[in-house]
Amino acid sequence: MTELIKGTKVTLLNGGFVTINRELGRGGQGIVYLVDHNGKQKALKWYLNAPDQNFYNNLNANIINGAPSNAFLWPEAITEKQKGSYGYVMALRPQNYFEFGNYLLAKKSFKSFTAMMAAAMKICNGFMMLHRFGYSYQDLNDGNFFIDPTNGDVLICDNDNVMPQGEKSGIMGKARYMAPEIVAGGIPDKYSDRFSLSVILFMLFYANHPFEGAKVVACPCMTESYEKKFYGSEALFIYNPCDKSNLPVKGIHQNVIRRWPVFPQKLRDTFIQEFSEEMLKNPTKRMIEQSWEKLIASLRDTLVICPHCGEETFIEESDAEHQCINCGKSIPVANFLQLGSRTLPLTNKTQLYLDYDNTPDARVAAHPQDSSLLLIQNLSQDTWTAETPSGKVKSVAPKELMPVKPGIKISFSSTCKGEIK
Amino acid sequence: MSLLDETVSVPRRTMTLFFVIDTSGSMAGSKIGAVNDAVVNVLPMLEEISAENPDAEIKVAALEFSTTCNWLYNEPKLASEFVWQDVQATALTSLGAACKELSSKLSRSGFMQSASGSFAPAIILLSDGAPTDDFDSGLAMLKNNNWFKAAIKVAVAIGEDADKDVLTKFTGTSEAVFTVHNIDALKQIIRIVAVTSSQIGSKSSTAGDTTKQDQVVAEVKNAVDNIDGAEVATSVDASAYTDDWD
Amino acid sequence: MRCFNFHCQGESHKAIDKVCQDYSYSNVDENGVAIAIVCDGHGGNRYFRSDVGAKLAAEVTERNVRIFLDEVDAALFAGQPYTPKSAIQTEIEDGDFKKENQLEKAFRQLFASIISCWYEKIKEHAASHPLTEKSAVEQKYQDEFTSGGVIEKTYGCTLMAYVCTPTYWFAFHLGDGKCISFDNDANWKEPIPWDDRCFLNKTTSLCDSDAINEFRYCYEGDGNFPIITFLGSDGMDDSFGEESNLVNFYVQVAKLIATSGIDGVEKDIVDTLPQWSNIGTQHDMSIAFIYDEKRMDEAYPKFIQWQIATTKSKIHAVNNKILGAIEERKKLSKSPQESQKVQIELQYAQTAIEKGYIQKQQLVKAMNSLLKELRGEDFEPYSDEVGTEYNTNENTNNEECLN
Repeated sequence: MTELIKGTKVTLLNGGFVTINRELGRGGQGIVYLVDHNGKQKALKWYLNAPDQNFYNNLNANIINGAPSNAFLWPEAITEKQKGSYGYVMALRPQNYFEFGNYLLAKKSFKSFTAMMAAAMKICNGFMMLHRFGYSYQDLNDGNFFIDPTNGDVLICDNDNVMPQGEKSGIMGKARYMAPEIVAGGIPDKYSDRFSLSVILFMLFYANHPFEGAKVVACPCMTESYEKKFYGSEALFIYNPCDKSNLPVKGIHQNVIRRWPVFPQKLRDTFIQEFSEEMLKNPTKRMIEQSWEKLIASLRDTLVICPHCGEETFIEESDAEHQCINCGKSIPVANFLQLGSRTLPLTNKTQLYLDYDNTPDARVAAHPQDSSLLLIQNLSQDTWTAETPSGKVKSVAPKELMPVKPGIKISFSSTCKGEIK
Repeated sequence: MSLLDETVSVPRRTMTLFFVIDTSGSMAGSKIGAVNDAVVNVLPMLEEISAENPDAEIKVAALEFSTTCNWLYNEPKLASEFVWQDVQATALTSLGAACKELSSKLSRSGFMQSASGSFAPAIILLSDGAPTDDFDSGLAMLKNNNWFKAAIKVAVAIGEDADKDVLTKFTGTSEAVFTVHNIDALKQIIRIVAVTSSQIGSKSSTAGDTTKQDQVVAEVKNAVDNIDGAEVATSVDASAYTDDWD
Repeated sequence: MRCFNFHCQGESHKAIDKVCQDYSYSNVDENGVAIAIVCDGHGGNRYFRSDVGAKLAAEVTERNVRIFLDEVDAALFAGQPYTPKSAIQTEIEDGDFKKENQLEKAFRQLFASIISCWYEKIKEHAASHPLTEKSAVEQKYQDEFTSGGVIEKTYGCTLMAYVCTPTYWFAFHLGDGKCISFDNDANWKEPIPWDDRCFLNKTTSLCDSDAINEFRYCYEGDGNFPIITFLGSDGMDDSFGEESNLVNFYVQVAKLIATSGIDGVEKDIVDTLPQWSNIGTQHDMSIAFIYDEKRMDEAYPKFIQWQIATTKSKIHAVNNKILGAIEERKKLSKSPQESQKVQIELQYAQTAIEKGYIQKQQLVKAMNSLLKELRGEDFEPYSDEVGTEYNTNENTNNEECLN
């Protein structure tokens, strides 16, 4: 074990070196230093106990292949082996990103549901890309994610544990985030990553672990054998409709007790499905990332601003009457945008997302002189083509406005067409 | 040696009553005279409440504010020992500065003792005008103060020129702002508010749902009905002022 | 290790025939594991079974702590320096976004288990004890209880515990009351961080919806142990007002243990606490403490020295007050005497001088008895340049000299 002091030069495998400035933090595996690399500030993760040659080779291969998406704080350069160990260089994490664990303890909270959805979307997309590159993550946990509470942007860290599927990094993950078959000793793959993704998303939305209810908190001490039981062989979803022995407990699981009933039905249904006994036992049946993206997009579609309290709320498409989840008052929704199978409410201050990225493409606003008249503003880079009920064709350039009027058909792009209902 | 040797217990807790008095130019003449007269007359009543109360003794502190602000004494004094010095009216209404000054004294290093030896203070604000300084930043500081948060807060608006929105912000509710229109009513309300706040403020709470402030407001309200020229501020419907299309 | 605990009904509760809502527990087992617990049920009408809530909380805590001690990986404590951990809300206000370590996660699990088992116990109690308190309790609180949705308020209480094993110790707290510990040199501290939400008559509670995040605690595994640790409910705080008075009482207890052993102390506390409640705030009071009997003798003189130092600083404060008032009077006597303000302030200065000397005399008396306790009969009595008597002549002379 060698710690590095200020001014130490650490040589890189591909030539050049970094100079140690100061320690930024440390964990079980190693220390992260602030370093200088050709005049730029970077972070160096330095292992206290150097992992084996396979690990080194894999890390180097990951660096050569590059990051699957910009959600990853990906290794940029590996050091030569020296001073009995080695490390890798990555970009510095900006100040405005907070570890996911802080959100679980309610030390930090999302500025808005929009930010929460953006985080969910970015995580899904990150995992989709990771699997598309042929990797699996191995050690997914609440320490890997850093999130900006204002816009929901995500950085996934600790990417040295990313391995080609079917291989094992040798670094054991945390049981709480592992699929039951991995807790039992299996090798992580994209199916077990998908389970971990469901856990992470559940925790993102409800700030509670899906298996941590009455049974788990009855134990004064979480021993390894209890872990194997509660997260593996006897894992039981807290809201399992057939077995209510693991319900959340007042005073402990307040977040999920509050949010579960007011968040949308389809989110509840999806988690009940994903954490059912069948899915726990059949990894290949687990929901794929694309389906998660679609679900999150549809949740985002139902987010509106309550005209009474000004807070964000979900509306249930199936309900005739929409109630604000904050103030309980009824929310009138007169018009919708029909976009294929999606139905987007058009209410004042609602933002519209046409695709699965986190940039709104349009927003609804009231007319400055007549609040009863709603307008749609084009926030995209493209010019839309609108056809009025009487058949006139108009174009709506970026930043331009058009009225919310039933019967207008809009071509947002050659593949994306909708109609106001 | 026994446990009773050398150990000091506090037989009674302390409740401090704060008068925060506007002494700006517009208060000159009969208004300031009435305030002086009323406080002098209420002090013996507070002394009596204090003497008869097994739970707490009452201390008094007074802060006057015009262009600057000034404590009558640099520590709270027992009601029985508090000698009133007539205050004079001059110049501006620095209520923001007064809030900051009050906040600095609502602390262990200021006028307050340890929380376990105290009841929440009662604060009575008397004003006939509108602040001429940065009230909002002063109030913001005060609103972060734990003692202020727990305090019984009552304001007396003297005449129609008093800015009732400001007084409402100070007390946290328009219910605790009482308006008087004549000198007699002013004297009476000072007496009623000071006596009621002291009575309720210096008792152990019964941990019911109503706060001590609510109890004071309810009692003062009843009494106000019997005073000519005093009234409870009517609450303003704020929604009428908000932009529908903001 | 030795221990003691006692709780008594407040005088105000006796008067209206209300049961004691405090509960205390202490025990030292054959393995040298010591546990002390104090729980304080909330007094208000809404919390009409808080006496039961407090007892159940103490029982559940004792049971779960023992399981925790059996199952926790003791290596997690090894070498850990004294580490205080605040409630989550305090950490947010302090901008503390540090990661929890393994030990801290284990504590969170322990606290969760205590809350969860407490809920189980009060549910059982509510089911087996239908509402009988009808007359004393307002209808809306009866309804809250009988409707079945919210029973935890009925049983609401605070919780404080100190646990000491041969290799490490820890303490945790939710709500008001105070834990005070002393080291070998009689230095005292509140080892558990305070929660500012406990202020005046407000307290955090086991019945709060966010109770898990309201726990605050501390731990140490580097071989240092408090010599004696006290847990006292808020009734103790209220009886002493300023914290230094409470600490002084605990110092008295520690000294008494050193000189007369625990038996005398037990009797004294059992006799004294109800008296405190009677002349003081009339609240329920409870106390529990754990001490290392092997180290008390050695610490005894240090406890006296602490009292001497405290008394000395009080004497200094009074001296400053006296000198300040004399100065003030001198200044005022040169101002125009007809001013109302000057007259009033002169009178205050005079009173302050007289009161100051009375206080001074009491303090010097206390000081001398402490010096005697420490050094024996041939101690040198305390004296200083300010003296203990108000000397009118001398002051007049001084004024003349200055003039």
